[in-house]
Amino acid sequence: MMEKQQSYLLIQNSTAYLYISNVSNILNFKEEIDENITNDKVNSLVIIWNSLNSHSNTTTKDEKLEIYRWLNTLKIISVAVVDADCSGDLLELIMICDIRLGGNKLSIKFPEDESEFTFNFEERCNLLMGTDRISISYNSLLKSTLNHQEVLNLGLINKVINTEGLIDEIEAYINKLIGNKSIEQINSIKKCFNNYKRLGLSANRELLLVEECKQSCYLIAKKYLEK
Amino acid sequence: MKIELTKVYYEEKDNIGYIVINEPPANKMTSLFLKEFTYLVHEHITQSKVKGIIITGKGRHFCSGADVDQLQEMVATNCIMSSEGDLTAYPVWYVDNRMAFDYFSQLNIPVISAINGFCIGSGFELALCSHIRICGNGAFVGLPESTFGIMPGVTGTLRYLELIGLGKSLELILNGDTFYAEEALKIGVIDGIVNKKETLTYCEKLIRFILEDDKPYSKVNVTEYIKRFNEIYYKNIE
Repeated sequence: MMEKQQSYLLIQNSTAYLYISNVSNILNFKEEIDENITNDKVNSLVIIWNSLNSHSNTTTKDEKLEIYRWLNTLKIISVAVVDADCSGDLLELIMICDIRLGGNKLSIKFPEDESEFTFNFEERCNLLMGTDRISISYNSLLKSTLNHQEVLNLGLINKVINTEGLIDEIEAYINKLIGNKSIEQINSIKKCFNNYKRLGLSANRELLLVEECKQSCYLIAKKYLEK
Repeated sequence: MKIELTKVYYEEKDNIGYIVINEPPANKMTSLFLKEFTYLVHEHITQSKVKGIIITGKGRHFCSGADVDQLQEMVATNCIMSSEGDLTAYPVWYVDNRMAFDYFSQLNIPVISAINGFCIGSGFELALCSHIRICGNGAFVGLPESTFGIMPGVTGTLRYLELIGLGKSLELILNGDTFYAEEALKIGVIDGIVNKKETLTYCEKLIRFILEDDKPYSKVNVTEYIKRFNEIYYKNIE
């Protein structure tokens, strides 16, 4: 049985499950996760919020920057799972991850002011919700509290999951996502999306698209050479 | 004015430019198509004075994607890999294709894709570069590249991101999901579904409606244009 309020890392079926009760906990496991990535032992990282404490604001700015830089350059898929009130450091963390899954109890409380974010809030919102068919301005999110269904409708989370059988639900989701893809294919797709995350959608279009072109050619050439 | 090449043609009628993928029934994007398409964009469409553009496929399908075997050989034989297996150079023509596709997403005149039947892989990437995608009922769209061990390479990942955001884009690209028009509309990667016999006519009327608007065209207002147009279009049908 899992104990609440605890942080630990579990490697299971090529997925690293990282349970945290404080955002800065991630730094304690970063090296171990990196080692598993280097040895091709994991293809996805699932960060699970394992605390009933809704408001965690104890992470220093330097710690946050280190975590965000790491997550923005991670070669594998990062998934955040939260089934609680989400604000402060936790909200920033889930906005940095690639994919967000929420339980029925998820509720996101946005801060009063965008200056409370370590990153550029407008750019992050554009990245998470898209820019072309946006139904709500990033400004109107400030000061608001949204439930799991509302954030799902806005595209801020990918899916609402049943937290009763949490690991089974996550495993099924990851299995569908990863399937029988090679680590190389996942890394290439991730490099392409990391480039968008790093530059933001307002960057020069040629710079944005260069990685997609490169990674696509790389995979095509690899596949041809394997024949 | 009509420029007819082997696999694609471009025609201007009443200030609208029509780009038609012309290799029915599947309208596959062969290397010859890509060469001709890039040539058309560079030499003719960029110089054109049309006020709107419609992209479509001849016959039952929009486009069933790239000729994968041909593409693999063409890319692989033009790439340079280091001894460590890293890619150090990739073909210029590949970048040219991507630029030709992306040209449409950056235009400040309306660009609409009229989609019937299959519109998958690089075919859907081209459609994603238009500002509006209208499907006939029964149309089937998506980016299945990752199920073949590769990934979209001509703007598809960025256009998904701009339309539906990071999480959903990454999910759809990794899964290689393809879907019928109804699901695509729900996800937000197409803008409307009409009777497949009327797809092109609907798009022609929609583009005229947009051009007749008092205010200058803006891509940001696409949803609003479609909503207002549908009120008139379906009222007239009744």
